[in-house]
Amino acid sequence: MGKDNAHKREILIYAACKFASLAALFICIIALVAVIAFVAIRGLPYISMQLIFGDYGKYPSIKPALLGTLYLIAISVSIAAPIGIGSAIFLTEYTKSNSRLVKSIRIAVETLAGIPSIVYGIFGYLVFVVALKYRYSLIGGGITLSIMILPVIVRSTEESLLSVPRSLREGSFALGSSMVRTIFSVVLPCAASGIVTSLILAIGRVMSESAVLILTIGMVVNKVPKGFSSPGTSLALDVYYFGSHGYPNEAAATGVVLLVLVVTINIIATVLGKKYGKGDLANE
Amino acid sequence: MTGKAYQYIKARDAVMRGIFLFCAAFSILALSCICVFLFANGLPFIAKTGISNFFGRKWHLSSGAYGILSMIAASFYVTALSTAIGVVIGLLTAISLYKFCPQKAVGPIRQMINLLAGIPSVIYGLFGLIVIVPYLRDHVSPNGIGYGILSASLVLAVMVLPTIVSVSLDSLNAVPGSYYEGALALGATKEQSVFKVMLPAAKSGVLAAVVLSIGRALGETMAVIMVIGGSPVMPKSLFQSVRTLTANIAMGATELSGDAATALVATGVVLFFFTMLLNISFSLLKGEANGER
Amino acid sequence: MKKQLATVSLALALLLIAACGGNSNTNNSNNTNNNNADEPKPISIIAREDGSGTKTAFMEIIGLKGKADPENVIIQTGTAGVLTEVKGNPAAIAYESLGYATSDVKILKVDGVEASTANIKNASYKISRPLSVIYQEETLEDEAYKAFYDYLQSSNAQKIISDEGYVSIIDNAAEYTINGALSGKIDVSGSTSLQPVMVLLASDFESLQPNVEVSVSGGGSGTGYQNAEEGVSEFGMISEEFNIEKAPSCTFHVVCKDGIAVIVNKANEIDSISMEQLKRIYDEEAGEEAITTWNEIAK
Repeated sequence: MGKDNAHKREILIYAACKFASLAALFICIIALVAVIAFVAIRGLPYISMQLIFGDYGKYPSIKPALLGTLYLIAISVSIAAPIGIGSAIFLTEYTKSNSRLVKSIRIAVETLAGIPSIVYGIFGYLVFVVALKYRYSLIGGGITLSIMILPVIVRSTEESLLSVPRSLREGSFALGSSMVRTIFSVVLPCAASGIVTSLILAIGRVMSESAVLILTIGMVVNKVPKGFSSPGTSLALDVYYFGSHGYPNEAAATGVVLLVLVVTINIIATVLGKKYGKGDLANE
Repeated sequence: MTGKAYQYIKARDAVMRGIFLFCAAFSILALSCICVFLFANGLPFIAKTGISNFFGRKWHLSSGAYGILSMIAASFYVTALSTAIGVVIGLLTAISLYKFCPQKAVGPIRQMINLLAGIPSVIYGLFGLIVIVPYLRDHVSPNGIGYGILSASLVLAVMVLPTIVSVSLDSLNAVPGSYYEGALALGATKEQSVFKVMLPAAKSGVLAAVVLSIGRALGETMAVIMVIGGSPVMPKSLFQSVRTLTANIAMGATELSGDAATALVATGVVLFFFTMLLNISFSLLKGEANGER
Repeated sequence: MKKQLATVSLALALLLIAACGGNSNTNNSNNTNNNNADEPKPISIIAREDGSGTKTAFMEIIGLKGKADPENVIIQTGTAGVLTEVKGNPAAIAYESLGYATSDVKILKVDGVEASTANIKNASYKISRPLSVIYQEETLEDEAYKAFYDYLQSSNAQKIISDEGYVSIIDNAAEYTINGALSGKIDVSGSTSLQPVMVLLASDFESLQPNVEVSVSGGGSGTGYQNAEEGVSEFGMISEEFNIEKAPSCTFHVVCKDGIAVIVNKANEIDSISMEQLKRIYDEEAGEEAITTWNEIAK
């Protein structure tokens, strides 16, 4: 009898655990909805044509920030994408053994991924503003960001390369193709959607970053950047600037714009990832 | 195939290999650069101020006291508490997504949770400042202060949720389904099989989730500075204005110059050191877990 | 399955509401305690981060130059944070640029003097700071730079300054005369306190002189000194009294004055505070003298 009771109690305990887990799910969803609803309610009423497309004058505008963000994306992705994809190719295609080099590369990538963004900010400041005397510039911020998003690209590209079935490569080799040809005509096309997804995720990361930029690009909120070497601002930085310089409503409105863009980008990435997902390929 | 063409292909392969190798080695290069610049600027300062001053309790710029012990302590508490909250809720969420909720809902819910990961931290900070801090101040705090470790931990816990949920859900999904069926066949209830069989089997993935979220919580800046309070004192209560390492850097970053600015770089070095420590212990743990399998 | 989920979520929602209800109950009892007249009401002291121009000026004026904040101060890195906290926290006290203080908070009189532009101009309200640009003398030899310098003293500039809630210190300024042939590039950088109004001044100047481009960036007063001294920027912005040691080859021009308002929650019954009391609140070393509760400040 006693054993029976204990058994019953255990079943009850685990049933309680189940409820706890459903409660946790509920809390998760509430948290998400709360954060988004909060920003939307505060910011939506203040979105105006002036804010988004106007010139920065009597009323603030985020046009410089939109352009600045585009510059930053262009710089950081055009640097990080080739390097990231290249290193993912090296790690998946050229190395099998756990050689010392591969190990240290992996450790370096993991470490880069773990470095707090404010530390990247200090690094960017020390290198581009202090040592190279570029002053605050989009290029300095962009290069710093490119190092920051490198691990994101390396990791997810690696994953999508790994999901390309071995047999495809072997088939290509069997037909007499060289290594390079196999990589460029067989492996990369198969993994293309995964790679694109990883780039989109990296773009999302660039857009939402602010701690790095506060130290590197100068937060020039009112000027449309003239080129890569001019100082500038970004959307996330504008949220911070507006928030701390007497424009709380504009801060929330800019937050909404940023949120919409980031969410759109995430959705595109998810859809792409799903449509041509690695799962399908592996099943082929 | 003529010898020349073969030679050409071979050479091309070698060149491309070199290029890919360079790309891969770039990470090492970048990391070394970061180390060099941080250490070259931060370590001399630590040496100059003296270890006991720099790791002392008192941060008082005008009298040359650059002690960051209180900030290390605050960072530690905030990280521990936020990870604890985040892991409990995140792991349970992953479990409920894994077996206990309608499978049709899993996809959309997961995507929604992933969206949380994309929300810029500035926005979490605003949310914390305008919603969490006033709520804690008016309804929970015994001393009328809403800022501090609890506020920061709650904001960070929400921020780390997506990481924990998706990484632990992935690792649960990676456990062979036969374990689950086996447990059911042995007479375990659905709940028992999940909690007693599947969860322990996925522990290395869960561990990875925990370490990732520790890293995120330790390094987060913009969300934390808005809700932590910022007073450089030893944390004694959940509702007390304190300062984390990241907050210390960001609070001075735009205005300070001279020695105080170098002190911030040195703070960055300490932060960097902790993240390295975390990464190394993570790789070791992962190595161990892999060896076990 | 759907039904099950709906039931579960309903149950959870109820649970959550119950939990919240429980919380607010305990809170109510707290409130009744607080309403007790004898209960000491601790002051929540709010300050800005070290290095902030507002903070440096405020601490210097109330006689605490170079001192650190009292223990348990709440540090906010921006206006939004300061205002949000004061608006929501009945026990808060803070200082903030007068131009930023909104009707959501109550501005205290200091030593019985109201914080108005008139009082700042005639110096009867003590807590204010100059916002200046610094430059090298040779800079003004260039036509475009000189024109911008003149513009800063014109009535056009004074109007923008007053409209934004800053204190114009130049009376009877003449209107800016447009020089049609003028072209060039002007770089202004430094104090983030002056940055918002400088941004407006720059764009107004650009509309008058379309061929001149003025770029305004932040970085803080320290950056302002450094950039002007090194010639990186033509004008450096600083939000404190000009300190020649920090930029020996430069001279300064006060663009405007910025009052620093002492602000409290609207529910606070106090209307006026003395410099002495402010000092005792914000002094880390006040010891026995320290004011820590609102009860110690007479109405």
